[in-house]
Amino acid sequence: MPLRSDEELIQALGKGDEDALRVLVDRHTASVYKFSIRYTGDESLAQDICQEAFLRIYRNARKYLPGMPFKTWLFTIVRNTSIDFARSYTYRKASSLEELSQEIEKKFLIDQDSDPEQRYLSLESAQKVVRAVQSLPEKQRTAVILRYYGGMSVKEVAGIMKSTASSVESLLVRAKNNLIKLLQI
Amino acid sequence: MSCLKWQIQILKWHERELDQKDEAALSRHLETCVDCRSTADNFSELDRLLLKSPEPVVPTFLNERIVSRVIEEMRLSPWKNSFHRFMASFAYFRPALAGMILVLGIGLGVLTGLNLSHSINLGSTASSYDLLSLAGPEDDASASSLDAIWTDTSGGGL
Repeated sequence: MPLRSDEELIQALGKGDEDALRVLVDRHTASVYKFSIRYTGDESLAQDICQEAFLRIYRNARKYLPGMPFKTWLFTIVRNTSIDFARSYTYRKASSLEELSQEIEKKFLIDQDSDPEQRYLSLESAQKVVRAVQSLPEKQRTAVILRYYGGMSVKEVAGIMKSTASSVESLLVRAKNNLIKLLQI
Repeated sequence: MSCLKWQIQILKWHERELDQKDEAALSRHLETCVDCRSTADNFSELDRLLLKSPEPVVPTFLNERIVSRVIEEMRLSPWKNSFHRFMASFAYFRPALAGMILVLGIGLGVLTGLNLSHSINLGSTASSYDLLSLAGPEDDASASSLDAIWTDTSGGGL
């Protein structure tokens, strides 16, 4: 059976097709979750964001126009949901570096088979980068996560952020300059 | 070109999005500008760190949790959902519908206003006529009916 496109699945979801929902969730939960957790740094909040984002996708499925790039539409909803949740909830932040290390080790795939020193370096590097990205201003953080972790083009990021490509490029440069200072490169 | 603009060029260069002409211009600039050379090195190092970042682990139960919750909403109230879906299908006609309602409202208002002013005019003409007919004798063709108001037929003044 040929695979249905995202556009076909969304239109089917709008008509109440539960199978279409399952396929969409299987296809996109990972990328939605990865964005959310990088955006908030909180596992529980990221899960709530994923759930709410898919609810909003279902509720707005009928408003989706077939010509619109699906990824742009999806991540616009995900981003707006992340902003709403981050604004409304005071989520628990790691209170110590050790706690952050444990969370990062659990939340991120650190190679468990590598030698201890390598694991330590990977962990240290990971926690610094994670913390640095989360401390960026919202727009810079969004642009970095979508571009460097989501693998999206500048044009796609601009579509999601309702901005222009040149504005996104300026944002990325500012974000990189901030990250360089934070990571003391 | 300002520093920010050169930094944008460096960003594009790292992402292989510069054409040959711009790449040559950047290359010439980097030969002379220490700050931009430093920026280019720092951006390279940062890209390496970002790419090296480990991937988040997606919880195994998350897909099922999302599906259950959305299906719960889908099944909760089929009539409510059908109504909402019906209304949502008109989403793109809403501005036109709003405009039509506004025009209709204004039209009805104008008609009502015209009717009302017509009624008021008819009403005031009738009452004026009634007043004048009371003031003057019906069979006195020469006198103004208004003069009769001021004539004291009983002999006393006002």
